[in-house]
Amino acid sequence: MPVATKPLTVRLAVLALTFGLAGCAGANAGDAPSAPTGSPDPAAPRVVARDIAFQPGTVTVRAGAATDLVFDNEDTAPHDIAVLASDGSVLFRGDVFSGAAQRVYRLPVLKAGTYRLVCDVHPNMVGTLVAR
Amino acid sequence: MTGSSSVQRRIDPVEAVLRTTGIALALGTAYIHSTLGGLLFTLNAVGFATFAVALVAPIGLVVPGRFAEPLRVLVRLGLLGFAAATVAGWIAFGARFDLGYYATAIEVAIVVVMALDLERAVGSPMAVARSVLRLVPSAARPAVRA
Repeated sequence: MPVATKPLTVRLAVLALTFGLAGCAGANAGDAPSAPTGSPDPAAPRVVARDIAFQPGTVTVRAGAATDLVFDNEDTAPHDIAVLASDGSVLFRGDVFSGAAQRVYRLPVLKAGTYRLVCDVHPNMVGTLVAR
Repeated sequence: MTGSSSVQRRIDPVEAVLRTTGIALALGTAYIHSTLGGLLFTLNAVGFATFAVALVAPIGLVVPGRFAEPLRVLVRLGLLGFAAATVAGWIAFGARFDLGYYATAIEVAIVVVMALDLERAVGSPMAVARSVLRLVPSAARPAVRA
C-alpha cells in the first residue's frame, strides 16, 4: 500500500530526527571537561572500577590544590568517573572507556568537603570523594 | 489491507527483508547491551534477544491458528515499544558515549522497521489494535472501530 506507507515513512523520519536531536542536545552539554594528564603524582589517589563498583568506596584528596586522580577500569564494561557537588552539579567528568585500561586525570581545585563519585554509564556505581 | 485479510497473508520478499533486518538490529543492540555490564543492561539485552527469537519462532505450530497472527503482531508491537522505551530511557538517563549513540541509532531503526513491517502486514494502527484484540476473549473485548 504505497499511498499509506509514504506518510508513515515521513512521520517516522521526523520521529527519528527528533530522537537524534534530543540525544545530541542532551549530550552532557555544559559539563566540566575531562583533563587527562600523562604522569600522575605518585601520591595521587587511585580509584578502581571492578565488578561495577568503585574501590575503594571513599577516596581522600587535598583541598585547595589541583590533584591528580588515577582511574583504573578493571572491568571489560565501559565506565567513567565524575565528581559531583552536593547540589548535583558536575565538577569534573572523565571520558567513558572500557577496561582493562587506566586514565590519569587532573581534578579541579576543590574546597574542603564531601563530593559524590558516579559512573554515568552505571548510575548505581557511586563513591565518595573527601577533600580535606 | 484489512486486519482480517492479513490473517491469510504470505510473507512477501519485502516483509522478509524487514523481518530479517529487525532481527539483526535486535541482536545487534542486544549484543551492545550485553557488553555494558550491570543488571539493567543485561535484562535489556535479554529482552532484545527474546524479541529477536520470537520474530522467527514458529508461533503457528504451537498456538491455535486464529491466535497465531495476532501473536505475531503482538511480538512486533512489543519489540517496537521496547526499542522506543529504551531510546527514551537513554535520552532521559543514559551516558553519552560512542556505544550509547550506536545502540540508540539501532533502536530508532528498529522502531522504523517494525512500524513499516506492521503497516505492510496489518495496516493502520487501528487495524493493528484490532488484530491484537483478537487475543482477548470476545466477552472482555472493547469495541475498536476505525
